[in-house]
Amino acid sequence: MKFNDAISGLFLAVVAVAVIAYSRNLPAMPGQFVGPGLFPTLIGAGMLIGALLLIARGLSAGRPWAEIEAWARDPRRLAHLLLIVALTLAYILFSEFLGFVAIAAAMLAALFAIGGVRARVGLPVALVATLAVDYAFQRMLRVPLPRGLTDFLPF
Amino acid sequence: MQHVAAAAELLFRPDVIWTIVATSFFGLFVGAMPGLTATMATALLVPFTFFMEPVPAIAAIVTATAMAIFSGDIPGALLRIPGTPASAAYVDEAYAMTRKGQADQALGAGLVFSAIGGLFGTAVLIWAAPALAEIALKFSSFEYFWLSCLGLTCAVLIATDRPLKGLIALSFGLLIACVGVNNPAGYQRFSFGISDLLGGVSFIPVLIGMFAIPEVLRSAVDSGGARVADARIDSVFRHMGHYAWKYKTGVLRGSATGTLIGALPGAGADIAAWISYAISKKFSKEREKFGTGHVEGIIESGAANNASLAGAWVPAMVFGIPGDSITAIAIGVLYLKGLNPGPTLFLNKPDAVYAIFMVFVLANLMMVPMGWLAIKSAKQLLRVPKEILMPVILLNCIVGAYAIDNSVFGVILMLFFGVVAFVMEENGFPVGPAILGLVLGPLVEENFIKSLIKADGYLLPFFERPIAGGLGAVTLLIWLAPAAVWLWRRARR
Repeated sequence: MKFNDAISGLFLAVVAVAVIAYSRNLPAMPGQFVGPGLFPTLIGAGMLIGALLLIARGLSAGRPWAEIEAWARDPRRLAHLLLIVALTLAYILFSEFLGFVAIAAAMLAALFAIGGVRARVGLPVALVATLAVDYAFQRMLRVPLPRGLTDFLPF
Repeated sequence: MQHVAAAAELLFRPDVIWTIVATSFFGLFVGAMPGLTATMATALLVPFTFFMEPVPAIAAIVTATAMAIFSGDIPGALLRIPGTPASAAYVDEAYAMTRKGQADQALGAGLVFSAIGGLFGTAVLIWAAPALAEIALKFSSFEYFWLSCLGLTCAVLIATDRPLKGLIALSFGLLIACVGVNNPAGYQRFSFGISDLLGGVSFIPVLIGMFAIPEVLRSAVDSGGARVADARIDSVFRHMGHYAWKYKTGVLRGSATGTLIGALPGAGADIAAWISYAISKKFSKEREKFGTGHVEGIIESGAANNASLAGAWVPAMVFGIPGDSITAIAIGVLYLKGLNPGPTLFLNKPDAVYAIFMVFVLANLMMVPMGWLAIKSAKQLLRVPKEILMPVILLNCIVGAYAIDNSVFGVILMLFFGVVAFVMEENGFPVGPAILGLVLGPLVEENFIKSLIKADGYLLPFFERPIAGGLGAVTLLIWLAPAAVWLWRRARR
């Protein structure tokens, strides 16, 4: 999705105004005339100026409000993109419960499948790659990856 | 001299050497994969460096980036796709050479002159950094304030072709840096009651998110692959001595240009290569041969992009101001390792400083045999399918973002900033300035507030000290220049 600069500018202007409003309400440092709100206010102001210039440029450029690229109209490629985001979300939500090995192997297998890798290749590679990452982080770097349901595994 | 010996002791240990060898392979591989950049190599390495000692951690980053910037030339010559943006400037030239049957010459020139450029940049780093640190010891908050303003300004104006969007990206990065309690007042702000944000936004997950996730997402929507050109690769090093003599001015000029551009905050290897290629063409005696598979431009810009890597470390080590997005990440690692960048680093930890210098020399020397291996195995290397590579990278990103605080909140940050960066890039906002803002934000704010309090709210003291005044004047001139140009154009109409 490519937005007209005026749309991006409008969004950024709203963010900048919100930042300034929030920062103005922060108290000053005791005994000082400056406080934690000064710096973000200045950045917000800079962002607001940039956003307004962007709106002006977008309006004069005469482009459509939003353009949809070729890939976004191709359901397969769009699904691939959304699957990456959805699987990462799934990892965030369920990794504690399912355990790293289970969810990581499933993630890789699903992404290989949508990428067009044959199951004969994809499934073993998913398993090996998962175990390799598990070994590198869990064993070598001692990162306590979530074990969850796979707690029974010996490694 | 005893520092050099102590540094050598820090460096020449089996675990450090092993790290350097392993990260060489990693850097060569990442650089050779189109779509994976040297910056991304650094971002992927950071979770590992988190668990290393300071010297091997820095050695890993330096080695991987040097190798990656060279090996970006490999798919450039064989596929006509630059492996990293730094090779984009001369990709057509290299591919034209391949079609003339000179792939080995193109890659050999890239390799040999990358190493020479890298060594030149390293020599400048070794010479300039301690000298500058001597001066920087006298700096007060005023000088640091202006210096970081100047750095951020360069990042927006020089490093991007879209200054307005660069400015907005920069302010976005500065705002992220505002989150949490790490401000001069120690006041909790922008954390909105989320306990994971109290200490600020964790740097490494953001970094992985902004540099690696967009590439993973883009690989899902980009169609098509490229076929490896049928190239005979016989003798990589033949003619190199002849080239070095014939184009000695170009090699020197490219190395110097690269080092200088690298040292400018925000501008890195890719810009160094573009500018050097243009300079080489302008001053060449055989200008008409450019674009038809002529080695001269490859030599000069190949030297430049590797020289810029070392150049970027000059402001990074001396002032804590990154010269490019790779050193922006490296500065984060230096802080994590207790090697806080700044002039005092040269006083307090001279052994570590010398060890870093030696790593640069070692990495650039090792580049020659390792790069030869990579060139020889290029065809196999380029056959690794993206459909398998990208999901594995995603998994590494997730685990890396998790590993920093052993918390799934890191993964949330990574995903959020990854999607934001993807949308930003789709809409023409550069990501580099945002990372620079994130790194420099606390430094700018601290020195700004400190200076304001010292100056009691007046602006004059910001300009009273000679160096501060000079830096301030230059910064203001750059800020006001666009408006002045605009007014001048209007007046002429």
